[in-house]
Amino acid sequence: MKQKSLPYLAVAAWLLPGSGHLLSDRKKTGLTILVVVNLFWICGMLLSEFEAGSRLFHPWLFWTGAGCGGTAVVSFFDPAVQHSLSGMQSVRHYQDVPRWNDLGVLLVCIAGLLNVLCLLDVIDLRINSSRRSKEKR
Amino acid sequence: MTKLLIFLLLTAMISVIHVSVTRIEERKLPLKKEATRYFLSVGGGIVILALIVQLLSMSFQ
Repeated sequence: MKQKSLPYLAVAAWLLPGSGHLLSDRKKTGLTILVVVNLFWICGMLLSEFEAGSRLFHPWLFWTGAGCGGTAVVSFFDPAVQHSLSGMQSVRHYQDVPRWNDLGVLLVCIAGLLNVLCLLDVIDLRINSSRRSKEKR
Repeated sequence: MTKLLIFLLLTAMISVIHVSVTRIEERKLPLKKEATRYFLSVGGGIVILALIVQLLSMSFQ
C-alpha cells in the first residue's frame, strides 16, 4: 500500500480523530480512537451547547479543545455567541447556563488533548516507518 | 455513585487510547494488560486521593 504524505496524514488526523491511523493502515487503533475521541468531543459539544468551542466564553480552554480540528471549525461559526449577554444585561436565571456545561467543556478538552497524542503517534509512525513494520496492525 | 461510575468509565476509555498511542515497542505486555494496569494505577490513585481529601474535610468539620 502506498504511504500517504505526512501533511495529509496530520491534517486528516487533526480534522477527524482516528482517520490518521486508519490511513496509516492501523485499523484497530484507528477505530478505537475514532469511536472514543469523537464520542467525547460530540458529547462535550452537545452538553455545553457548543460553548466549549467558543473563544469568547473560553479563551484559554479553547486551545486544549483545539487538538481536535472540529473545535476550530465550531469556533469559526461560534453558535454559542447567542448566549452572550451584551451591555447591561446580566444572568437572571442560573438555568440560562447549560446544566452540564462544565462536564461538556471538560470532555472537549480531554478529546483535544488525547487527539494531540494520537496526532504525534501518527507523525511518529510515518517518520519511523521501521517501527510501523515491527508493530502488529 | 453515578459520578464515580462516570469517572471510572472515562478513565478506562482514556487508558485504552493513551496506552494504544504511547506504547514503546520494547514493551512485551499485551495492550489489554497494559491498559488495565494504567487504568488501575490512575483510577485507583485518584480515588485514594479523593478519599484522603474527603476524610480530611470530615475531620475538620
